[in-house]
Amino acid sequence: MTQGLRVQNLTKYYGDYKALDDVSFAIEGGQFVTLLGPSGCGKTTLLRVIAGFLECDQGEVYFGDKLINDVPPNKRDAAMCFQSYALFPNKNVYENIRFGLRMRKVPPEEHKERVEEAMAMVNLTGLGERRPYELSGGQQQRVALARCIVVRPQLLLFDEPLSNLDAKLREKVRVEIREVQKKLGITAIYVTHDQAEALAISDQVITMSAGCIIQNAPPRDIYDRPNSRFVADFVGTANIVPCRILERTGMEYLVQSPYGELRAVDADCDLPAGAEGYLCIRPEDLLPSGKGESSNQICGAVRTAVYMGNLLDMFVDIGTEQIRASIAKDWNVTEGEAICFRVAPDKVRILGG
Amino acid sequence: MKKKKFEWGYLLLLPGLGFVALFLGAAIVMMALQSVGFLNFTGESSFSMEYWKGLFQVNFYDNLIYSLKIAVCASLICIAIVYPLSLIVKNMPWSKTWLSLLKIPMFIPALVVCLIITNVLNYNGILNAVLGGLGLIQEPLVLRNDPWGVGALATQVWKNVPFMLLIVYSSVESVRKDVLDAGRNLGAGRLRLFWEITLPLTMPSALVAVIMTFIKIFNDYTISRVMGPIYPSTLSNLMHKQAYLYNDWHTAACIGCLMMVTAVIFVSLYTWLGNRLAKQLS
Amino acid sequence: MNNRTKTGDPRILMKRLLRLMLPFAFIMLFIAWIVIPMGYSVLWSLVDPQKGWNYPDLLPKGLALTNWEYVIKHTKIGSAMGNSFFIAICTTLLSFLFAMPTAYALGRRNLRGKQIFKTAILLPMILPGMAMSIYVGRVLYYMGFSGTYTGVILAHTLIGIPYMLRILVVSFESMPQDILDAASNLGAGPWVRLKEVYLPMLLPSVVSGSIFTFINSMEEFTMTFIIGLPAVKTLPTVLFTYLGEGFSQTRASVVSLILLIPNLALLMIVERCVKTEYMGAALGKM
Repeated sequence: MTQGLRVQNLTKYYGDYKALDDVSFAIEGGQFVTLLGPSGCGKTTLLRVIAGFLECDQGEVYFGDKLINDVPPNKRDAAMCFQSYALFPNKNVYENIRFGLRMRKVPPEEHKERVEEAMAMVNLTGLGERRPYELSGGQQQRVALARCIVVRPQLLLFDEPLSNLDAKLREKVRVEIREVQKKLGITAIYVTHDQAEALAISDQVITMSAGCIIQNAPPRDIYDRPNSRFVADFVGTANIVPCRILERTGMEYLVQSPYGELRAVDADCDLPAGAEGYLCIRPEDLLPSGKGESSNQICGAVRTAVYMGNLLDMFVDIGTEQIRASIAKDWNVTEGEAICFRVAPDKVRILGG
Repeated sequence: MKKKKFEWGYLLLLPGLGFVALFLGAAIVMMALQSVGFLNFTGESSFSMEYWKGLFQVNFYDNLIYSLKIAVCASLICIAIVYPLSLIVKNMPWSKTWLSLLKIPMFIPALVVCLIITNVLNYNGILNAVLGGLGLIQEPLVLRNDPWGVGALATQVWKNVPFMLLIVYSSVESVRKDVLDAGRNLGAGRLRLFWEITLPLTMPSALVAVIMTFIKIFNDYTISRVMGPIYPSTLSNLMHKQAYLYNDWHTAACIGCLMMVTAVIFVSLYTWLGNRLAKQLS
Repeated sequence: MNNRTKTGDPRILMKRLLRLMLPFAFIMLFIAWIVIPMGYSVLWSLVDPQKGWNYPDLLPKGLALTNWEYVIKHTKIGSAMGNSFFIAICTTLLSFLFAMPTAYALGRRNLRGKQIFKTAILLPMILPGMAMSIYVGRVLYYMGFSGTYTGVILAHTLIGIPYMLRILVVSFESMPQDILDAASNLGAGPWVRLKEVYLPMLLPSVVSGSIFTFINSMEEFTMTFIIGLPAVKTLPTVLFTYLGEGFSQTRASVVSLILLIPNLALLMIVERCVKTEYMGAALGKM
């Protein structure tokens, strides 16, 4: 198991623009952590500070217990997979992968074995003589990965490595990346703006916005227990409407919202009765049910229903508001039809401003 | 707070930029000083504007007009050849190969170009032989060292078409195909398409090409000396004669200054256009 | 409508015919424009002086190697050629040495006033050659280099640097930062980055920049004419004599061909060695 990483109070300016604002977090050894956020949120800047390509204005970066702020990028033991792959166009696949070994003064007699091992791990066996421009995008991406893992670094860094691949291939390669990382037990940091990718691949997701960390939690918590409107909205789809808390007993709430009066059970919320907040319901948590058949119902008229293959995606008018629901694909609804949903109280999330 | 590091980049500029600045700077300063009477090689040196005043009494105007005439005519003929040529090459099979073949004259030394055009235009050249053979002329035409400058003009056109072709072709080729398809889809014919889409989109680079060509031809010495009339000739020829034939270095310096200033004005124009072009593309 | 396409509308047929004719017309034009005028230089160099070639003959009456023999045996063409090559090689080396650091600074460093430097460096390409020659010649005269190889080489270098620089700067600029970062990320220090990343990727531009500078020096006339003559003669100055005062179309043709052959051979190399697709593909853009 490799060492972890600790980042403390990182701040980085570009001129007057604050790209990173007092960012702190810690990663345990062997974890796979994703930095997730919209473009311009500072995630790539953070990754480049960790890799040493950028100097931070304030704060510290520790690999294990070692402060590495002043270590130049070529002396840090953190291998990076670039968005553009950044393969050396003048070297063949074998030489590309071997480069890091030569730089680290690994004895030459070990090179062949280690390069071949790395190539086998990413399914590149037999392509050693090819030049980068003779490879497909997916193969280039694998060479980049092999070039990183062959040096057995303390830390693997990924800068949106899959964004140049098509959707099918992206899913395949991301599974491979995760498998290789687990097998080697190397701590990994992965930058992406694709929330599905982040949820699928990580042990821990760090959601960022405007240079700040918004939520740092495992994927399940990020999706089921977002701590803010930003996270709820950015990760997956969510129906978010303003609400007012009518009653509170322990973690049970009764709220007034455009969707009507709803009961909610939320352990993370600390708003008192009478407070204003936001109500968040995931589309797939809405289950169709006959009017009055159960409690905690939301009723309205179907505005549009789109058959998506694996589910039925619909927008339902509720007064002046709309709610989006994803229900089982076998349902048949017609536009204008009245429909009711029930929602389990623990699926209703209450968020502060 | 971090200390501002010394920027080593400026030191790295020195070898290339320093070399050019040193020689060119010294040469320009010398020329400027000599044009106002200093640095007299033979007698007393003192400040005087005589030479500038005198400049406009020498056969300066004849030469200026000749220089302008050849430069303007050659640039315009070039651009008139280059646009249709670009469009034809673009639609030809193996357009890359054709382009590199058409580029050949660019890499032929000016003096060799003079010889090649001499082969065509001379008293016993191809053109006279063909025209004579067809019975269109009785006497061979004088087209080399002729008083109007046909020989020099033809040489300049032949030599400069490839350079312009390169710029205009890459610009014509970079007009996006979907834009042209959209035009056709909306009912424009080929000619209209050229007039309304290709031409306006490629105009800035065509202008850049014309400016570059113009200034090169305007400053030319060799081709006019070999192919052009004995009198008048280009300003470069006049300058050379003033300095080496009449030993009148001060007047030569004045002519040199004038040419330099013209060139700098055109370069600024070129840079300005280039920047506009870059903005347009982004 | 159907009927038309079957029998063949004369207008459509005409159009097709034109389509087919266009390449042929183009090739004919190309031959008339470039091949014949250049080919005539070869004929002129081989004209038999005994029989001559006069108006209105389209072709010479007889061919012989007399002119080649004369030029090679009885003129100092050999030494002029040697001078040309020697000067061109020195100029190329000097230009490369001077241009390389400057190109790096202009291409990869964020310097204030970079744009001004970039424009300034191009000045020798655009300033009037005669005015430059005369006064750079004066500067060299004061330095004691008038009529020497050193003087001519320095003057040619002044003209050569901008060509070299322009190509190298573009090459430095277009080098993707990611690849350099990847190298340092894998542990490469500055020296290894220079040796294994910069130089291999710059190589095509270094080669084409050198060839352009070389060709440029080979054909530079004005500078040699003003600074070198009468002590340092190169091929263009010899050619100038045959085209001017000592007009001889036959000898001029011989000298032209001698001057032209290395140029065109080098150009073929440039066309071969500059592969543009190579860089893009390595960056995952297919």
